[in-house]
Amino acid sequence: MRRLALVIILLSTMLLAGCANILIAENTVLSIENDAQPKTAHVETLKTEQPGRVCALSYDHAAILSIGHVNDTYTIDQFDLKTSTLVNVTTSDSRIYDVQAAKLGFFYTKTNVSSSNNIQIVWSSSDRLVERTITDTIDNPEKAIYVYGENRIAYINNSTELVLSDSNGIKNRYALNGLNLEVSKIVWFPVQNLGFLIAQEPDSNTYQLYRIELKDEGVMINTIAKNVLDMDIDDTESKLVYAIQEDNNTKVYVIEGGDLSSSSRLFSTDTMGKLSFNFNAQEIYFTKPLEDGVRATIWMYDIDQNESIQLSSPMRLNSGIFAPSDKNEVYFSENQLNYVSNSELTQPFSYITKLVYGRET
Amino acid sequence: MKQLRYESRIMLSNIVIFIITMLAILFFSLQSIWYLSVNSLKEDMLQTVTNLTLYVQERTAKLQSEEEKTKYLINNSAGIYTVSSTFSEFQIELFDLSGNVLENGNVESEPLSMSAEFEEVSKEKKPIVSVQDYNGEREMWMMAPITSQNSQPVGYIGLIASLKYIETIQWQVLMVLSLSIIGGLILLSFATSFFSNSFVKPIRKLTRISSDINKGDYDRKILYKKDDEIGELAEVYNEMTQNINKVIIQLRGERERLGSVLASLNDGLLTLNQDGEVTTSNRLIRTYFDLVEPKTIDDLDSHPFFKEIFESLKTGKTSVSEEVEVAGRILLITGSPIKVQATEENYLFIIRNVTTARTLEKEQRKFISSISHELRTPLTTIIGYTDMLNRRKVDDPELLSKSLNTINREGHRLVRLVDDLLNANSVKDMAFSIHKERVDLEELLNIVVEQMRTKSLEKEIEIVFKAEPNLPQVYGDYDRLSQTFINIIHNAIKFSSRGGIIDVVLTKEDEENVSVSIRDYGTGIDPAKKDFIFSAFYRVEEDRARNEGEGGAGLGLYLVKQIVDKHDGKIRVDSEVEEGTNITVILPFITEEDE
Repeated sequence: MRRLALVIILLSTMLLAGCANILIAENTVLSIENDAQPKTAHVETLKTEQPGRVCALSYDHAAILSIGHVNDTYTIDQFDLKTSTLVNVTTSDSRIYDVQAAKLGFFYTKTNVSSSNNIQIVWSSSDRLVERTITDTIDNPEKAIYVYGENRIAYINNSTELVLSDSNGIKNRYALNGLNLEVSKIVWFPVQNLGFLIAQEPDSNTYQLYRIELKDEGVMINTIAKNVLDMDIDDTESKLVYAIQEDNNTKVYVIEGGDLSSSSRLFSTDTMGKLSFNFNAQEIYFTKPLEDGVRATIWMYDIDQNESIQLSSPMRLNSGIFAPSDKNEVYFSENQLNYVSNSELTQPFSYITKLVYGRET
Repeated sequence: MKQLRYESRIMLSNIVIFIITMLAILFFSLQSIWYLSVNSLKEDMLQTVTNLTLYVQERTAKLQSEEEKTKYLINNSAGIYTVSSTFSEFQIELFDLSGNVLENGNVESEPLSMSAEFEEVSKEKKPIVSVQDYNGEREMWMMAPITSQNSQPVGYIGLIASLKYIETIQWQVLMVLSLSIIGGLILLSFATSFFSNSFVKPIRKLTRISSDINKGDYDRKILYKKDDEIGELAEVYNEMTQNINKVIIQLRGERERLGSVLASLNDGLLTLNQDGEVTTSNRLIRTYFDLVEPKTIDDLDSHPFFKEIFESLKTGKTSVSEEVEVAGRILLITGSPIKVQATEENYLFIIRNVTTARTLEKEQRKFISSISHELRTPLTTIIGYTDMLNRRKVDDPELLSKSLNTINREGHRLVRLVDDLLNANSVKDMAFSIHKERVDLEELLNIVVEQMRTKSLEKEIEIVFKAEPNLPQVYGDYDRLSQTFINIIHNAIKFSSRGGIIDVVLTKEDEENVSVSIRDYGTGIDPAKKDFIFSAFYRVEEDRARNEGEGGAGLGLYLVKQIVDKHDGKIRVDSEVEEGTNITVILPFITEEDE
């Protein structure tokens, strides 16, 4: 009993001592290692005549496609990475949502002029001489599209069917087994004859990753993951990377090989916005939004080194991250405020931006 | 301090353990909150440093020299400060390479010099952090270099964060946990009080059953069905009581057997330990010495021979015997030492009643003496007469006749004597058999009376026989019954005066028996000696009988008694001195049921 009494007194003393914090030294200066030492980097803003939101790389990765919006006019512009020139590809009075490059041209989605509630998919040749609406009048495709092969496109129509079409509008339609999906992103693996969607069902408030496979016996749809943030397919169309939010953690998985049915985890981070493979799928670029929801930092994950590196300070990103080549540079667009110390704030512009980063040797 | 009961100890232990556990949880919770929060804050600060460093690097990438970059920082400190303020909520100060404050954003107060931190960071070239009290509030300070692409510092950033909110959280947690502890204590007290009974109940049951077992009820079993520690204890306990029961039954059996052995002993048995305490005694000790449960040798003080023998044995003698007479008995006391467990010496006393043996020896001596005399007397007479006839020629025919008659008579007397001896001997032998058959007593007695008339007429004694008519027959040995009545009538003749009468009466005694009474009117028997007339070798007025030439070995009535006993009958003697003797033999007759 005496020993117990002593223990109680001891513990009480510890408690009553004002909860003196014993784990962290006070009034002592300590140096700490900062593992997140930034690598050599510089950011170059590519000021363009037509500021636009970067959407995709060209088929040959020599240019980037952006969607511009000035007053009520939407443009699709192509910025040549070598010559740093911006060329207008198409103009539209109705809103353009997304553009994806094909070998002989590009596909883009825009508001249907006949019905403003519907979306149209348009194919335009590279020389801009031919422009063709490939969706039928009754069609209402999702805004997200994916171009594969040389001149083919995959998209979800009416939220209920998968459509594989060519630039002439010759389509194969596949019902989604009664599913009604609002798709935010789609990719297609033509060799395996399967694709992945980030989509949600109408009453749901979370996005899930669906795997759709076309088999002889029909369309096989599986839910792979929940709370999906983003995904990307590599240039060889053999790998998929995706990120999910789990509790207060973001986990990044890769699906590769065989029938693309099994996932393996690559890494985790606290938060994530968008992600994308680099040109050879050895690095993954991702963004980390700040709490203000406006800015995000750009990071790079090296698969071989299994390390994440911060590449940029917080930026007002409004696009994904695109890495067209083997150089240590990425392209994106950001909303910029012109800071002139005593001038008024002007309308924010969206500029195509290039970030060049170095690696420690 | 009075020992607490088990139930109270359980309660108290639970409460103490609960308090200690909750205090420990509280302590570690508070410490963890502080540690995790401070570390999280530190990570956020580091992120801010990284963001700002990258920001500066992005904008100075194209500048050639470090000096240009440093100047850029100085010249654009306001803009850089504004941007960095958007990165975090910390209070920020920008410093140049000399530690001078470039921007702090707080126009109301002097900027913090953070001189100690600056000294450390400029030396280490790494971020440094400290937790300290500033103006009564706990704050976390971080100072880090802003580096160029070449990892060279171009300036420094200082970040200050208040830790007040962490302390607030700690206090809130403290309040909540304290209230939880109090609530938990109350709940625990009730719950423990409620449930401790179920823990103590099996123990109480064990106690009750143990008490019953202690009182001798070894058949009690503890019924506890749960397979836990108490169940194991109950199982072992039951096995133990079972074994104890077996041992006790065994011991009881042994004790009873020993008691039976001791009780069945024909000798008295007494054992004493070295201190003279009685450890064992049997009933014959009480019978012989009129003692009730003697405890020590002192209780035997009225019989000093015990102490004498005891003292002798203690001196080392291996056996001491003494014959004593106590209350009319002759007892042979033999004492010897016995070893208990090879070391402890106890003493055994065997007390043998040798009265009968001594009496028998005495009777045997008397019998031998009597037989010798009886044998010598006729032999002397026979030898005397034959010597005389041998030595001289006897012409006198009267003398010759008398001599021959005497020799003949004495010879017959010898024969009778030998017959009596043989009969008496055979009675003790199992060979003295009784062959029972239906016997008509009237017919038998008629023959016996007729046979004895010859003898009785020698003394002019008349034998009158009367028999009740139609009496039932008896089961008996014809010859032995004849012998019985012959012996009795013979005695009656012997002790009747000349010219007397002997009445022999056969009648029904009662619903089951007939009686034969033989009455003489002779000398009678002294009442004091009446009980001895059926003893072997006992002779009444033996000298007188001898003088009358009718001396016997004293076996006649002894034989009568044995024969009547073997016929399940009784014999009754009524006698008055000088009035005569009436001997009645009662025998059971054959009933219809026996048929």
